Amino acid sequence: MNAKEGRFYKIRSYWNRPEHAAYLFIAPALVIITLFVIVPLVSSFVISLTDMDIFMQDVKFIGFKNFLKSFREERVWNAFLNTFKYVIFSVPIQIAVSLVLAFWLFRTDRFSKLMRSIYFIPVICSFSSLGIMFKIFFGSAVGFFPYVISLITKNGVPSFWTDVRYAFPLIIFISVWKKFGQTLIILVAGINSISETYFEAARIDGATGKQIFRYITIPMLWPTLSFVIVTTLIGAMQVFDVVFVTTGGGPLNSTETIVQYIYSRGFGNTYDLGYASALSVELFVVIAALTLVLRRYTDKKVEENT
Amino acid sequence: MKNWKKAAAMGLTLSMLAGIPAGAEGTVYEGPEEPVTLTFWNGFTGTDGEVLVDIVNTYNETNDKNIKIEMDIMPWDTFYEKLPPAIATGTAPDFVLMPTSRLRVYGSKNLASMADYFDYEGSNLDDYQDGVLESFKLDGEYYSVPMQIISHYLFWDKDMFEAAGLDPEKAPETMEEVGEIARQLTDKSKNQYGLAMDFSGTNLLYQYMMFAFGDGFFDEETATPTIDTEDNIKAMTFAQDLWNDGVSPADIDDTVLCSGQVGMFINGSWMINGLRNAGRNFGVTAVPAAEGEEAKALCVPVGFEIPSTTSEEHKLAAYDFIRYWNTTEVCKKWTQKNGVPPYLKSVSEDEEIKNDPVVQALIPTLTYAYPQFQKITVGASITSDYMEPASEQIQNGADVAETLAKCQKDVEVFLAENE
Repeated sequence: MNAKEGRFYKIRSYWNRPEHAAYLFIAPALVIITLFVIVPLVSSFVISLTDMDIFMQDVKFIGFKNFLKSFREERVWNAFLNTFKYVIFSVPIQIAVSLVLAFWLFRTDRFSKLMRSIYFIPVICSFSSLGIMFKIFFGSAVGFFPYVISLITKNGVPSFWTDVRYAFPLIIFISVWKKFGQTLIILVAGINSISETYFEAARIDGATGKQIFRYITIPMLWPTLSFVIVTTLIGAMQVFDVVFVTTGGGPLNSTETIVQYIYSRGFGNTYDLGYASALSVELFVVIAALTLVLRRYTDKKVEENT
Repeated sequence: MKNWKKAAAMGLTLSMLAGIPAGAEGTVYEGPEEPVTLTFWNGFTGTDGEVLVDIVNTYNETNDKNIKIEMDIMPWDTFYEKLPPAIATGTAPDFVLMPTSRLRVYGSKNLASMADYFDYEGSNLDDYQDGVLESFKLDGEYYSVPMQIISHYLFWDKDMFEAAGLDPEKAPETMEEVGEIARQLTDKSKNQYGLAMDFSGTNLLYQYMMFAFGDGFFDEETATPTIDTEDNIKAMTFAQDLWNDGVSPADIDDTVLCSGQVGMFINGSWMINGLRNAGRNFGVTAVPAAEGEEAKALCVPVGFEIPSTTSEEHKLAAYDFIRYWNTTEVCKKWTQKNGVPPYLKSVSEDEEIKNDPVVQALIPTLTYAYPQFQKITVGASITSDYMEPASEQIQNGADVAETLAKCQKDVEVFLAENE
């Protein structure tokens, strides 16, 4: 064995050890996470400390000025408030609808499979396309729904998108309609993983469907529910596409969510990347804190029920 | 206004004295050494875009210099989002179309100077109407060359006027008359409305209401906001009353007049091609002023610009297309097809143009219209972040005087921080 071969075998035996080989297995994922999560995250924070615009010229370090400016800005607070409102309404409704349907459709008969497939169709469609579709459907210019209402009331075509009372609930409706199919599939998988013996025992004891749902399904489903709640909440905090294509944040900023506002600062007329990055960092901190609190609560629930 | 025109005329004279060759003389461009494909971005997604495509295709087929243009038309919002990062990352197109109000946003670091454009044969400096080229300069230097200069007008549906017992050939002469006719034409049971009122759209309804009552929200001379003046309060109260009377449909886009839903619409001349295609019997006139006031208007000069990332070879090839655009033949076609007022003398003097009633109705407005935000960088933000929300609040019943006063203060602070 020459020196070259000796070095090769030495390297191979080093990486053959399980504690070293593990690094090789996680390396591809680690590279992707570093490139697409860690680097942008750190970059965002660095950019947030500068006055960088989209042309990236003459960049100056300005410390925490962008953050201080955002705390003073009424529109930022309004955007965060709208985002929380969206989360508070859309997340529970989406999970509740999915949960009820999951309990109804968890079986493996043809009807359940067909219905689950139908409910999944909106999930595979682009949110932007669906948003545009609903915008037209509820728009007063060519929308079918407002037209039908105008035929009944004979008082002109109402506009849902420019009315503060309707725009926000409509966005929540579209979001729930689009996303509940995905939650449904996860919950069905969760229900199916619960051992049949629990249900059998409950039925023998004379439990009704409602009682089985409340005292067997829900407690046993907590690990799945915990996952669904956390992921749905994180997604809801970042809502953007449906708002962007339907209302653009209007009317009167009543549907402007924080990501919509970040986008308008970064890519709108001001091209203020520094400020947009500062808002992104704030959103990151809020989501991280919320996730932490929620995880503690759901973990506790899981412990109680398992 | 007169000052602007004077300055424009002086600028033109000075630039000519400075030695810019006029007329047909100048360096001859013989084309690139190798065949060149130019990329070209713009936001002409409307029916006028079809005419633009036709002109670009004709150029590609007929030019003998081995220049090919690949055009990408996208919505203006997308255009403004894509272009800055494209310039920053060196992936920008070879040339673009933009309103000149954006020149200051991009500045001399991101756009190439086009000062040498008129050095080349065929650039016909003499053919541009007096003062037209001034708004295509940034700090005295050309960073843009004209593509079109448009303004806003009052369009009316002649058939709807006739059905309501009005003279279909007679346009409303005052803003008060516009209001009266709008109320008269409105019949909600038929989904028929008198006037399309888009409080936050590109047709700048709030600005034209303010103009009609003698003011406007921004003083171009001093580059300061003039939002909460008495005239403006009167104007927006007039608009709010009209809205409350239900003369307008709630959602407005460019199609509401084409579909026969509204009787009148204040909007840009880009509507004309769509109205013709839809076969509407329409009239067009200058936006009228209120009684006792003088008519005012904005013009929107749109020009060809070249990003700073474009190579010299591609820049010269782009000049060739821009010269082609600014020939009498092409400008006449654009004017006739889209109903755009001509900015070349040779087109204005053309017999067919002189006999085109639609084009002739558009020309007078350009004698007093002026471009907006020539002295500031953040004009687009004033419109989108302050004027449109304030206008929307008034639409939704907010107190006019209070809303405009708050808007005035906010814009003053914003300008102090950003200019």
